[in-house]
Amino acid sequence: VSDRGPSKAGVLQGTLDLMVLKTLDTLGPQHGYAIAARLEQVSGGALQVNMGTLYPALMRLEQRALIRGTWGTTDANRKARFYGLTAAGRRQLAKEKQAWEQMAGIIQTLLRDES
Amino acid sequence: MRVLREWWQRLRATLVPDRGDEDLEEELRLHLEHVAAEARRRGHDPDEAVRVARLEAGGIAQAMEALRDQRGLLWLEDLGRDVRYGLRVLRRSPAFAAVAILTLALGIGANAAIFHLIDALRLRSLPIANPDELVDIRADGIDGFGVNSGPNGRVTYPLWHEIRTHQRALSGTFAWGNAGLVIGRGADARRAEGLWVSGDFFRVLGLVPARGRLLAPSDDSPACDAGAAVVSYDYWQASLGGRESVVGSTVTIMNNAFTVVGVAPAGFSGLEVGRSFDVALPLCIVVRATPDSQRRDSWWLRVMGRLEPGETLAAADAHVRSLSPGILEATIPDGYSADLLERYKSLRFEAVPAGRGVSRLRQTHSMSLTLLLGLSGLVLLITCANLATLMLARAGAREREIAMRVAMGAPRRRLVSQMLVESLLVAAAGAAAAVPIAVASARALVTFLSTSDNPISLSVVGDWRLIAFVTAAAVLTTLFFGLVPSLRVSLVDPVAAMRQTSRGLTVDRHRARLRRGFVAGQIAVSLVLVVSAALFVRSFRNLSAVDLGFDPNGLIVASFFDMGGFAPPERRPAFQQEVTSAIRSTPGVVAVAASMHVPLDGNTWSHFFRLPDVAGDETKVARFAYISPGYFETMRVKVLAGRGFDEHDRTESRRVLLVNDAFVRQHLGGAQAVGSRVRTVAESGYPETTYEIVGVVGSTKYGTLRDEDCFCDAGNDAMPPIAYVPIAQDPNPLPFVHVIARASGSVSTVAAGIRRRFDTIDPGVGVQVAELAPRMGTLLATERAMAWLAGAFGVLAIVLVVVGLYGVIAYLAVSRRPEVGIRLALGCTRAGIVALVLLDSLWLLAAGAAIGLPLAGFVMRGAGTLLFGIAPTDVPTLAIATVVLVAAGSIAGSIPAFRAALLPPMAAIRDEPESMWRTARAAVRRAVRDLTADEATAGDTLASDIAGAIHRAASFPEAVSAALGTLRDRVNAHPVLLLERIGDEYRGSAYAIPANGILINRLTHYPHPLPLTLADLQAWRKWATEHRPGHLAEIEMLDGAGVRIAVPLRTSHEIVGVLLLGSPDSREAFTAAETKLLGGAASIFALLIENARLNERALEQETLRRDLSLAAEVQKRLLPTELPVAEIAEFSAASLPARSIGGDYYDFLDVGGRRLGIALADVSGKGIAAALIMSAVQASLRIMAADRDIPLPRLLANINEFLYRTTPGNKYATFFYALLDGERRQLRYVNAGHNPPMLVRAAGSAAAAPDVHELTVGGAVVGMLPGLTYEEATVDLSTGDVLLAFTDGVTEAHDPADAEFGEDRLKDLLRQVAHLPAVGIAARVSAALKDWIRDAEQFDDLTFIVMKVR
Repeated sequence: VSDRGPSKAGVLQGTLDLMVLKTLDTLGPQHGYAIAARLEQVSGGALQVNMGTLYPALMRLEQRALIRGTWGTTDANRKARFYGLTAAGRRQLAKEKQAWEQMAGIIQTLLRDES
Repeated sequence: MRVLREWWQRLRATLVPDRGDEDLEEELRLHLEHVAAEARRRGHDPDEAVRVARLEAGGIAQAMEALRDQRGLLWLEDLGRDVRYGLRVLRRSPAFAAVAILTLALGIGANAAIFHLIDALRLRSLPIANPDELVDIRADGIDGFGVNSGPNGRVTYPLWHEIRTHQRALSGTFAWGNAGLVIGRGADARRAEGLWVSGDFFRVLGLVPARGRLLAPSDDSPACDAGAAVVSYDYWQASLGGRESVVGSTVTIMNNAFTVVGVAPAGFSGLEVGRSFDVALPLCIVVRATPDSQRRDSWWLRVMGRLEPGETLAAADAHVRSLSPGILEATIPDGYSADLLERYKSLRFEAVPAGRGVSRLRQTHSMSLTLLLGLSGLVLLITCANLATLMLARAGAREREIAMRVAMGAPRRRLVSQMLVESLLVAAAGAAAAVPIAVASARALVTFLSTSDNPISLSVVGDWRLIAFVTAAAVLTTLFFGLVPSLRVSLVDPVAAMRQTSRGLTVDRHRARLRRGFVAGQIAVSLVLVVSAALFVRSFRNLSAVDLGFDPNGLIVASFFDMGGFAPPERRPAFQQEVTSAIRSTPGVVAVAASMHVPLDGNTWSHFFRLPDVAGDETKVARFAYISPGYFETMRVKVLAGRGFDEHDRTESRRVLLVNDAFVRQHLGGAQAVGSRVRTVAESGYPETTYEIVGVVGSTKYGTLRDEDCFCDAGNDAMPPIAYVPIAQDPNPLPFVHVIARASGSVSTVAAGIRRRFDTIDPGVGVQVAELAPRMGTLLATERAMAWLAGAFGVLAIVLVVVGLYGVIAYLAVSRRPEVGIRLALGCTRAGIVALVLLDSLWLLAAGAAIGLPLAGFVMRGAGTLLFGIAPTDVPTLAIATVVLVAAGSIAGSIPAFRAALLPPMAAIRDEPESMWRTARAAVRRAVRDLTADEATAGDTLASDIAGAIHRAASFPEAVSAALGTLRDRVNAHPVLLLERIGDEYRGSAYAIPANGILINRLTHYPHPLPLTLADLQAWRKWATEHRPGHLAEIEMLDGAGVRIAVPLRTSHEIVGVLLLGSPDSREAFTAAETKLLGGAASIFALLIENARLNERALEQETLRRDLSLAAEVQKRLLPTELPVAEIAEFSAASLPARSIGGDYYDFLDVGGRRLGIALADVSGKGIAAALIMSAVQASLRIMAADRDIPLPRLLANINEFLYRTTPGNKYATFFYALLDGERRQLRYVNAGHNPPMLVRAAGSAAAAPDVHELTVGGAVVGMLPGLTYEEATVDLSTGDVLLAFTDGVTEAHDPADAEFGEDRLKDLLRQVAHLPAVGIAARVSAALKDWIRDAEQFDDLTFIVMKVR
């Protein structure tokens, strides 16, 4: 149990799974670095995912059978482990996405009202 | 469905193997390379790029650490933790663990033992090279062609020669036969199992000697002069001391010297399973010594061979078949009739796989063992069902604990695997204990089945096949008894689980149904076992009691065998007479006779014959026996007609015959037997002979006790037709004879005497002396074993059913206790209650029997041939079995039934709400204990605090407020409000917010506690002012109350309430840890509220409400409807119950003699339970007060004892009892913990305020503690005195501002109104109270009595 208050890492922890799932949904099967690069790119460099965070997350998702990893080769003909969404992963993504959007909508409304 | 799919996914995920470290590192390295490449593209030089990459992406070592954590987290740690948890849980319930492990050990052990025997008997391959290639050459239908040496007498010596010469399909053939040998000489002689083997025997089998060499073709040469013998490994070890010098040593076998040339390999005990050999001798020895062995009608060999490599069994079989006509044509025996020879020539040889050896046991015991395996399988099934119900019950008891853990976020996967691991631990322990049980029982069984005539040697030492069987059984049983309960756990809905706390009102019908199903199935299966037990026991009894036709007790059989020293055939009759006379002269022998046949030794001797006087040319068959005169006297068989044999029936005299009664009935059709002729059909050595029947004797058994083919229409337990021929007229005297003697006195002494007599006989003659009666017992070894085992299984089944049924009925009875209590209170008789509960078990028994009877019929139909003298569907047996099972089951079911009926009604109903609390509290505490042991978190300690707080609560509102208080202390926030959903609102004691308001809307979409900072509220206010002015009131309220965080209390489908908390600890916001804590607390509160609602809902149930209102009716009648009339005083009373049924009670009792009893009591608690206790107080009081001379302290002590015994410890009553004596104008009273009644003394002068005395003398409350004593006090009364006795509801009546009415106020009031008549005083007190309470809720009953002395 963490005694720390909400931090950037904490936020990331909660949403990293969702981001990974979404990335794989958008781009199709990807290897770890491509996922990290994509997140960095989408966030405009704000989100730099450490290996020690990313790969346990991938493993966690794989253990939960939401994604599946297989060894393959990249376009540059390099060996890499590619992760793809499973059917369960797709369902999970849809579920989380909906919850997130609802939440975001509320926050947005709230913030707009405030201004 | 969704649950299943989720399960499948998880299962599949567990099957994905974990990735190794290298694989993971590789992935990380590649990642770093990518980052470095990217860095290079940005312009860093290669070395720099690697450093940058490491900075940006982190180190491999750290990432590996995190990955290893993640990898190990799920499986390894979980498993270890599950095992630890399982062990802890089992340790916590050692009785359950012991029972479960023991029953499993017995169940699996029994199965494994029988499997082990079947395996040894049928499944194991011989320890020879390539056993699959070994085939047995044999023909069916060989019976009736001369002498057959037993199960291994399948081929004659001439046939063996023909087969060996002509066959082309086998790479090697050999022949072997059994030999009963005597090894040693004189007093050292021992019987031994021998094998006659042809020269190729060991070579074809591919055996390697343990010592020396094995027999070779040169040992089996026509000259037969090698004199070589091979001993088995076991014989070498056991009888020859395992000496190395054995090779080359000399042994005496059958009076001849042999040289031991070698020892057979360890483990090879011959080709017949269950019969091991001691010595193997070359075939040529016996062929040379006994010319009979070469006869074409002497079947004493088995021929086997090894398939040519590449040759199929089918091809070999076809080849052997095609050879048959030629082989048979070349070996036609002489002396047979034409039709018999035709049958001989039509025989066909076949090749049968023999890699698992041959076995006579296989035929005799295979069916019994298969049936036993089936029966023991059923026992295991019942065991599992029993365990499953046990586990279900445990799962049920733990469901609340589990619900709490689910509510606190424990993943269901963990819970299920925990339950499964727990089952697996039980099964593993059971299996471990089962292995020695299995080996021991298998050994015991072999000993049981083995007889001196039929020694069985099976290797039962326990091997990997046994271990594999036990393991498989353990896994299967785990799945069977553990899976259902654990899957149920995965489906536990926390709220639904808590719902079960209101037991009795919402019984968990589903689980009860499941358990009832298990038990009904168990009863059905048990019935099969009980039926089989009854059938086998009766079958065995039938066999034991079967009429033999002769008296076996006191009979001794001395058998003489040829060992090479026998006289030639023409000398044999003389030899018979010699030994017979020798035995006749032995002391103690009263009768003696020689015979070629010993009754019931399994051998039979039949002849075909014709009856020229009766049946013309028809060929018939009957048993024949060659006997000497005195046989019937010795056997104690009556001669019914004509005469017996005597010394005049000699070789040269007329051929005569005796027949038995069965023969007359079967073949002569009851015609005149004496004088008829019998003409035998010619056989080899037995030319056609015409005999004249000279007498008829009583029928007897012949070869076996049962299933003997009598060639007749009668059943298999009928006596066979037998024809007796004088032994002197035997056309073909064989080289053996039995002498049967009847002893008087000690049979064994006489037998020893006979034995001694032949100590010095020719060493070429083997003698065996045995008593007949003990041998009879061994005939029934199989049947006895079956009866014992089936009986044991049957008893075991009954025990298991009794246990299972008792468990289920007890469970149902307990869950029906409140119902039972209400029924009793409403006048249902105890017998009615017993019937009610018993009906449950009777239904189960009926259902079980309905399934079980056809099932038993089906199972036992296949076992019909194992039974004797009883049909598998014997109706009386089925009926008895059913009655026994139902009776046992009913007794099991009636224990809980009687217990339920004997419960006092108030004890049955007593803990209506409290029991829920007790179980819920216990569950919370358990859950907390488990959780804290595993992972102590702030949330858990909060949960345990809350559990502690609600421990003291007596009702839901109290529990909720206690829990709130705990939470308040913990987070140190103010205020802490709980709003509960009621209709369209969430309402608390002071505040309410609309269900469609802004806060609830926000909470609906926000899964966590929602912080409400001042800024948040400000923003809301701004927004609401513009868009939703209707929400302003709610926002103002939240702001006004100082709410800083809102915690939704969710159940599966709605928000049942909201926790609103103000600023914590003078800080503005909650920390993340606190927020998380609140989230955890929310689930507890949600459960509390849900529970409270469900409880209310349950109370509202229609039937219960009817029962309650009826109970209230009963209740009302307990209070006196009229006030007493007495000379000395006038009375008035009032009672305002808080609910429809109150715990207050008052009564006036006319005890006679101008005395009046006045009682006032307040029973703790409220509602129906209190009411029923109150009725107990009333009943006991009325009974005891009837004894007018009883001292008041004694009366109170009695009531105290009665209440203490009949009510739970936390129930009690305050009680005031006074006896008004009109003659003495006195009031004697006892006050048992009641609010002191007030006695207002009539004022001495009008001006002074009247004195108010309190009547306090007495003792403690009644019903709480045993053995209390009380004191009484006496008050003299004078005119105008006023007594006011009241319950605490009066003084503790609250006004809307929560202020108590209080004693002082009451005293003042009393002083003011004391001058009024009793009715007036009562009216004024009532009015004052009503005025005080106004519209506040009345929490307690208000009751008071006024007495004014005239």
